[in-house]
Amino acid sequence: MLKKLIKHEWIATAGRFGIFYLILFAITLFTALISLLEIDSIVFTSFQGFLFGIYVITLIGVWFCSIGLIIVRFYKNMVSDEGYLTFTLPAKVEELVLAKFVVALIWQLVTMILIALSLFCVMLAGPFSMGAGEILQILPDVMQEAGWIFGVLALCFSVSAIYQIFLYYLSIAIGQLFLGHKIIGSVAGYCIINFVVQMVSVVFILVLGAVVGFTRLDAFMNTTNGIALFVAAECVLMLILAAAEYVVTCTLLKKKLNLN
Amino acid sequence: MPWEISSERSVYLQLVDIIKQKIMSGEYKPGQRMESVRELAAEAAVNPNTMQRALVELEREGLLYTQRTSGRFVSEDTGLIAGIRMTGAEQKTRDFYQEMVQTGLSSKEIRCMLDKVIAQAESETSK
Amino acid sequence: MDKEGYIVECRNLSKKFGGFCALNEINLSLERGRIIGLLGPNGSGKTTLIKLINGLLVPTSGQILISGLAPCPETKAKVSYLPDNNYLSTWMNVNQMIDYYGDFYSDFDKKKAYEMLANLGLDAKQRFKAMSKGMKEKVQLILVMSRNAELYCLDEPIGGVDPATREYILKTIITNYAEDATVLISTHLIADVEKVLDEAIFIQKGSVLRHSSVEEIRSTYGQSVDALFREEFKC
Repeated sequence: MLKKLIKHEWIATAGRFGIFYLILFAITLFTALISLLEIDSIVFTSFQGFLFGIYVITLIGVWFCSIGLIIVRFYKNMVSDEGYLTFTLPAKVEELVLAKFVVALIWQLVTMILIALSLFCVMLAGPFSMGAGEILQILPDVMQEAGWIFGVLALCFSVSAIYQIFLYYLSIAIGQLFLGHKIIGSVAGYCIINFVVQMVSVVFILVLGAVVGFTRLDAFMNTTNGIALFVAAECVLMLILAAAEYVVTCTLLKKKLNLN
Repeated sequence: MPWEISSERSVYLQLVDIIKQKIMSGEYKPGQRMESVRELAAEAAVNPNTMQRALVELEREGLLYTQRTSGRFVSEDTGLIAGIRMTGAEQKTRDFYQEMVQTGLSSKEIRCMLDKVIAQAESETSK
Repeated sequence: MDKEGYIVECRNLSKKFGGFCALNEINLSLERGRIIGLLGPNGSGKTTLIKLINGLLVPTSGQILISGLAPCPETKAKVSYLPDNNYLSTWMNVNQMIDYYGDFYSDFDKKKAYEMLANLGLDAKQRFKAMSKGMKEKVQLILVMSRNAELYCLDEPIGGVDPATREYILKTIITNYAEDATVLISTHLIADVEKVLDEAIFIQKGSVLRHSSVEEIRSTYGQSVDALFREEFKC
């Protein structure tokens, strides 16, 4: 059943994501090509700068749209009228939510990779270009020395994406408790959860500091080990929170579903 | 003949009557294969279980019969059909007679009235 | 799950929303192979009961059993539900929705669905976005009745449609429900539907006032179910 749900989730979302990626591709191509031209004219250079600004805005737009699509998809398919069909399928609620999460995560990762690639291409061609050849020469060394940074960034990003997706789902599950005010309820839910998580983190640091001693904590945080440990702890905490959000979302949708 | 069924009385009894009429009038011919219960019920816009009950009753009366693999058929016993037609007609005539008596006509007047009406009807159809 | 025994059983079933009691200690047993009318005015608890049957709500107290089981994916596979509103994904076309149904429900009869749609003269490539409300309702009905379910729950299937459509809907229901399946029709339009019913359940303000066969009502009271309903619900 989970496979079928994922398959249909894929079919439902591929079209819209495809359009965004096409836009991204088109604007990357356009910007890169324009940047390659070296016309000696103030007007043209200004235009290039302007175009680059538009390009960055588009990138940000694509990023936010991809998050928006994930949220809208969950909202429409689960707690609006389509929910009547979704929740009477012969599948467990846990499977319904998990299928959406899996596909959403894949889209988030793909979006991020494509945006990174796009930036890379434009940088190659553009105002900050050092020439493709030179970059490709330096790349292996950079990778060896600091490649692990990319790994860590990717890991942090993925964990953050997982946490965020379940956060949106839980907010929507909370929002639908309030008949007639589902969207406001969702936004409120989102803010409240964020607030609670922040408070818990602050309390945690304070307690840790009190136990270990603030100066020692401060010093430790400035070492490589300290940073590494901090990042690892953050990731673990986010995963635990994501799991908790998943469980609460499923429970709310099972026991307190409010379709109308 | 359209299925005119009132919801104020037993639908089952009305169905028995209507199907009987259709057999009497020849709309359902002797030996004709009946449609399935569902199809008949859909045509009459009634509950299939009620239609089934009505069909079973008509089987009991001998107007329909079931052949296990081929379905349900109208009886080919034209004698039986004619007999039931006559019984129905006699009851209707009795009812008619009582009604006419109630309006104050004498038997002689009723007979004259009948002759007049039949003569008129026959001359209209021969035009 | 046993195929004998009641298809739906409610034992002291109650559902409260905050302070409001939508269903009050309902006791009901629905037999297989019947067309049953769930009759009552708006707000009487009909939709609440149907949502409970379909697992869209959980009871506050008491039990609801579908073929002996509490609502779960297994029971959802046996129940075909037609809600009161439009629930079809607007971006899909008819073909895609049929694939969707066929994928998730092993009892879905694609051939039958296509036949019924052809009879309507409907283009299977048409998107739901482009369909009129009446057409959408017919398509939803076809999808629901193309399943060989053990229980069909139809919530106000003939509300707000013209007589020709109503006739079409009733005929579709009569001809297509699976053998030995039960059809539960929830409506407040009793006169239009009563000739199709085996049994009638009168429900008001969350309580079941009556559950009997319609022929029995007609013979005992000498009036239509609609007339009796109006009498009993005068207050």
